[in-house]
Amino acid sequence: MTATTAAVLVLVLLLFFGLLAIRLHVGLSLMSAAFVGVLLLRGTGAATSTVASMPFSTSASYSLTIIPLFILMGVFAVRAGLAQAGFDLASAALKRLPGGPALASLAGSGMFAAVTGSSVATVATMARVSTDAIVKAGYGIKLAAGVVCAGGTLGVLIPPSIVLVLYGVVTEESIGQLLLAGVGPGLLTIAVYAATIVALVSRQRRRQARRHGDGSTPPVDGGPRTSPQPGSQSRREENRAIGGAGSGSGTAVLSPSSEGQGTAAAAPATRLDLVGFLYLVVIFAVSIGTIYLGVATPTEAASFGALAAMVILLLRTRPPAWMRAVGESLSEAVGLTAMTFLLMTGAGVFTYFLALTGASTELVGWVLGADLPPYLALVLCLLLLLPLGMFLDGISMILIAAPLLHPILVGYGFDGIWLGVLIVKVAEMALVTPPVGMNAFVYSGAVREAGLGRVFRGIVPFILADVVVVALLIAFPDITTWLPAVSSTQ
Amino acid sequence: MSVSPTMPTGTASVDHSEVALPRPVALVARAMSVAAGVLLIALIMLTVADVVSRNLRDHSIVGAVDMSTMLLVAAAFLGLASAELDGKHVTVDLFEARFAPRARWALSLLRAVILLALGVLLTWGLSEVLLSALERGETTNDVLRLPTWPAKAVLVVSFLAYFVVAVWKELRAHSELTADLADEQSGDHR
Repeated sequence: MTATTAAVLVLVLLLFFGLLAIRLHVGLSLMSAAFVGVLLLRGTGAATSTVASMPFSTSASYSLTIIPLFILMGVFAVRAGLAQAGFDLASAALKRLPGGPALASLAGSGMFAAVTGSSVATVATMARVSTDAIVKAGYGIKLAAGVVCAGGTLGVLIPPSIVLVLYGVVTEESIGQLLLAGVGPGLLTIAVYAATIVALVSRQRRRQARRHGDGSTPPVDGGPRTSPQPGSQSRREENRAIGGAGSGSGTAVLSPSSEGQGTAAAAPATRLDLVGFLYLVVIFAVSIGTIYLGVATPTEAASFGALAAMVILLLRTRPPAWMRAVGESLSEAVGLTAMTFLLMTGAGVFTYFLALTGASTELVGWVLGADLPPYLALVLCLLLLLPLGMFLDGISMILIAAPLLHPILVGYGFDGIWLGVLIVKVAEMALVTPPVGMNAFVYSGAVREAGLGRVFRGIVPFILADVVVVALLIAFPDITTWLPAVSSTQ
Repeated sequence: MSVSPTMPTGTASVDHSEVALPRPVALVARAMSVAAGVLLIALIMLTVADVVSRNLRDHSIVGAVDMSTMLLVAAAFLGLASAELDGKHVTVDLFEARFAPRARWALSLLRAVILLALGVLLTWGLSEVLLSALERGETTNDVLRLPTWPAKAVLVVSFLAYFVVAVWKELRAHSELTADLADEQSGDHR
């Protein structure tokens, strides 16, 4: 790379961050900065034709049809009230557990994020309502902040994950395998987050119990449970969350009376739109099950999922409202699709510019030439993602960083599918990491009384939980690779 | 919901404001959104029909992949204008809220200029791409040899409409800031 090229590269990077700082759409910021770069290196004609050919070359790819299809599936499902049904069911089922409202919010954020594919959007949407529910139940706002910000990051691993699809597109890894690979780590993250919530709540309870002295009832919803049934339930939950180490004792405390309690609790749940939840399971089975069985390509599975979701929306809407329900869903899906493709177009121009400067190949060659211990290279690459969480949401981070990190780490001998899940997971962590995680800023914007400092303090336990999850994913690659390995998808 | 992550100060706003556009422009944006929705439904149906056909008749629909791809190109950006019109961006604002009104006024003007320049660039560039596809009679590579110009024509319209809405919105915001500034100055005089 010549000195001129290096100067242009620095200029373009500064320009990009400058444009982001004046609140230009991130896709347009990427496009404008890279346009100036190509213009300086190759002249006006080349720059114009690069930018002008990018919308077509970005979108004219059959494998990308999966993006609007997944978006449609999610929007139809939300419109049909399926996410709400799942959330209500989780609230009812978890009500009696310590930290029940927090666990339900975690489930709700996870579902919303799985559908929209954006944890920033999830936090913006869920912050107010989840916080009110959690605070009303007597828990601190710090816990609410942690739960909502962390819950938003769940969606990228739980299928259908648009972020994983995009990773597959930019790195040419198998999209079907990536979607399946996200399942294990997604479940692990849920379990570890749930255990974190239960631990935080138990600690708060113990403190309050100490303050109030024995015997008095603390003002916390479902304070220390003295009745055996809910107590055993919560212990069961803890056992499950921690990994079933004590599952034997968990079953032992399950007395017949507690089963009776279970059916009593299930009764209102039936009124709680159990059918809606079952539909959710059907959509999941249609879209992910068919990929797992290898009977459909991811694109075909997404089509069936979207069709199923639309039919369910029609079944759950009265015929006079059909046009409106479908029309509004389509309009939302169309907007989401357009913004995603705008982002991809910008990232496409930017990646082209990086390739033109030779920066990408030089960086890859340089890191590979350094011949670091592979796991050190892995950790360094993952740490590089964290500061990006200040400027970019998960999708943008993957579009910009994955084309650089993937060749480096595959060169160090790591599996591309496993890497995809790790990179996506850490990119989401970047959105909650102090001092710059974007989710926290969005949260404190939506819940004014929280204050940024308290939000970050609330997030810290969940970051520790994430570190544990990432460490487990690195130490036990099987968590990620077992499902793709046993499935028939290619 | 589109997320346009920009810079944070601890303030974030979800902008739900419907901007009063000239009626014809708003109607065109809505019509394009509906058209994109229809194209996406067609995309679902085509893929489902393809799988059904492969299982029942043992062969795929000829050119299904090509048709899907062209449907995607046409549908991908058609919703830009109406998404911008609804303006459900989550913007996180690190600096601007702390700036003096005059600086905010200047930044808004700068955004409008950049959006206008990008709009001109893309509309012109995409039209060139369209004309060249028409002249060369460019087609897809698959069996059907579908012409690419219809999809490319949709791209020109999509981006043109998007930038019209975006520039309009920014100019509206700018004129509000101008009014605020004028108020403030008259307040100083009093």
